[in-house]
Amino acid sequence: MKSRLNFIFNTHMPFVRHPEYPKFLEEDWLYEVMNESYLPLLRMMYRLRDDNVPFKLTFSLSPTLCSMLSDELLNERFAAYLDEHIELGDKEIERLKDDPERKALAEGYRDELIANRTFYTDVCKGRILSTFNELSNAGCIELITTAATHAYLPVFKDYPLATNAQIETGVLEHNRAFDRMSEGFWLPECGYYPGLEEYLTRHNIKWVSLASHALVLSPDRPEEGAYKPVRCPNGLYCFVRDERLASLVWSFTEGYPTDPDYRDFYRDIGFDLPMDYIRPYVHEPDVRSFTGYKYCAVTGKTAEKKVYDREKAAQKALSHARNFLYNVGCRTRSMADILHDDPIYTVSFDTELFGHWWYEGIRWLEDLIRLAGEDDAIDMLTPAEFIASKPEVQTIHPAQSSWGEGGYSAVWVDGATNAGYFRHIFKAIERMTELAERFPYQKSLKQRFLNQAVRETLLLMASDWPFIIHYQTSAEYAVKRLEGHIQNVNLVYDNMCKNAVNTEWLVKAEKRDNLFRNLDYNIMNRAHLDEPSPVYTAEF
Amino acid sequence: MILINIESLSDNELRNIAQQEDLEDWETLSREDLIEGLEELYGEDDELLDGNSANSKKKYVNTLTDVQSDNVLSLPGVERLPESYNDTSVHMILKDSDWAYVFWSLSPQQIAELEESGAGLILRNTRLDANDGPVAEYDIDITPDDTSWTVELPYAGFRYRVSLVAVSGEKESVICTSNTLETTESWFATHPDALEDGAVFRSVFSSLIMKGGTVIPNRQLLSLVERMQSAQRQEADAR
Repeated sequence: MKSRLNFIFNTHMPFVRHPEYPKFLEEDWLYEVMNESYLPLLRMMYRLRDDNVPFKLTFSLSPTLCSMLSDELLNERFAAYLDEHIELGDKEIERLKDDPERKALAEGYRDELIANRTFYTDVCKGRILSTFNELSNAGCIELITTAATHAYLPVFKDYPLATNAQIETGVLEHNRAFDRMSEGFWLPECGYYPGLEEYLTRHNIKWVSLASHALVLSPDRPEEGAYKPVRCPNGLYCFVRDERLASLVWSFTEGYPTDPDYRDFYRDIGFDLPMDYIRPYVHEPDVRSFTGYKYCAVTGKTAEKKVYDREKAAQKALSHARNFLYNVGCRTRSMADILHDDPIYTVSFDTELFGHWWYEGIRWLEDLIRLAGEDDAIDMLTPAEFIASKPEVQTIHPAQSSWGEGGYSAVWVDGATNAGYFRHIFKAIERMTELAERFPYQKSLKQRFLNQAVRETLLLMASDWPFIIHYQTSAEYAVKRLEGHIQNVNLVYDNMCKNAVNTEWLVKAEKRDNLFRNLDYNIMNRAHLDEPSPVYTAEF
Repeated sequence: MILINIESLSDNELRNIAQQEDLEDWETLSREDLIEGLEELYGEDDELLDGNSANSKKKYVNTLTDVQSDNVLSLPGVERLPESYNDTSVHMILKDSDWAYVFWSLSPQQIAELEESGAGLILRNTRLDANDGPVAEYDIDITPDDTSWTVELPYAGFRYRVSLVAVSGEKESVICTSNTLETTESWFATHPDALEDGAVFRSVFSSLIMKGGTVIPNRQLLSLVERMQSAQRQEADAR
């Protein structure tokens, strides 16, 4: 019996773009993951392809991320970010000339930055999406879409137009970015509720991935658990996450990334060195932030950290790759007497875990893929390939579920820090629907005004803001964004009720929140749901 | 807010955070005093000071603390969001398997009517059958100042809705009614015998057991696991 690995990577960043400032702390979220995750991952996949190592991975690229990766300003700023950090590397190598261990690490980081810069410029030509698409064309990866702004859909269950707008915009933006239909749809935070599948199949989506408990808590008896995909009654395929395998990697308390030999994420010269030295590489006014130059190993929950040893960590990554495949093999052998087909292990992660949070994660993945390529008992597959084989699977009603803490919606609606915003978010959606129905098919300025209002509504629905507020990581920023988008929708509403257009606001808003340029506000008109999905007729 | 285990931070990192937070004598405090001072500042019982729970996800973090930069403070936003939108409505959002977050608003006209009549307010949670007929209900006394409540949905496999009801003596009048929520009941909850079958555990539950031998902290799932463990204990006792 063979084990079939179905890796799915959720690649998403919230839309953060502030042209009004020369440098903005929260924009670094994007630059950090581009430098530490996306480019190293792409380089790793190119290596595998060039070495003729077979691999199959699935990447969901969120529409907000696609917009940012295609944005000229953000790409210019990212190139400057790389140059700035290469310069910091040179400074570090000089500073550490009498400390050979740390100096070698600094050289390693600087060389990685230079390799990324070269790859980004020469191979990607500044267009990371094209590079993903090339790997997709080569049959190595499956690219899929997700909700327009990564909205956590179960909380919008009673707002069909807003739900459809998130899905339809996600599908259309994917088509525009990659010139092909997305067969799969990443449910943000694996958030599912019974009935959501109807919106998805309307746009020709064939599959989603669900949280691990979606089958066990179903009102129907699941036959083969997560080892084989199932179908909703309307035909949508569901690939259920294997929590056990994911926990080998994901857990912050016992997953591979917590190994003492791996690099510590938090020890960074941005926080350790004097401000006079680090000032050009952090943010004004003297706000310390991560620089990527980190010299300590995890070691343990102690202030006395060991110096990071690249070779030792690389050996550990290889051993953890073997351990992962060993676990897969053991599971398959132990299930051989009760499963009818080769089991499929669906393992999904946030992409930024690899390289950004878990520095050795990309190395681990590459080792795993190379080992799997040599192992006849292991196959990699993508959901689209599985579906193309026209498999017979069980039809079942999955239960409402998410991969958030507790398995439902308590992270995004916690009743304490973030739930209060939903009265405003819901009202904004209601107002947007009212405007779309009172003023259908407008032209010129009013059309642009209403289109911008829908962009603001979609941005308001992003799962990121309540998530950040719940975990109190960059809460002030998330609150500002929520309040800003609420204010924007209300501004359009108040103006339109007076039959006016605030052109000064419109011009600024279009420049700032410049995503989804083909968005049509009539998507929020109830009549829109009676029309066939535009994915069948749109030209890209 | 410190975003990682505080004991893991270097002396420099602690001192820099203390400086940022204007902790008194930050330049001369010992490591122990810095930690104590920051713990006091952030609250000793703050779970985030203890680091990460097993499955919580930290995203969009590029500082060690929740920094409020000048750029963020100067972003356009509203001084204060509207307290109400001049309408009367009540909404329910499912939080987890058996709790819902409920929020409502009353229009100024509605508030005036309530004040004039001297009526009290209750939030009525109604459990419904498959045809949306009421099966049971319970009331929560609320005040005119309340705008939200977390409501228990005690039975799986039912639909629920809440209503705001004005009560004056024996007389009741429904002001507004919410959307309907549905809780699902696992097939295994209604067929507990199946949980005694070892093959069921292997095929259906084995992919849910995490590395440390635990399952995600989901109440319904934990309940099924408890039943399964109880069945195993009984079997062992019988042997």
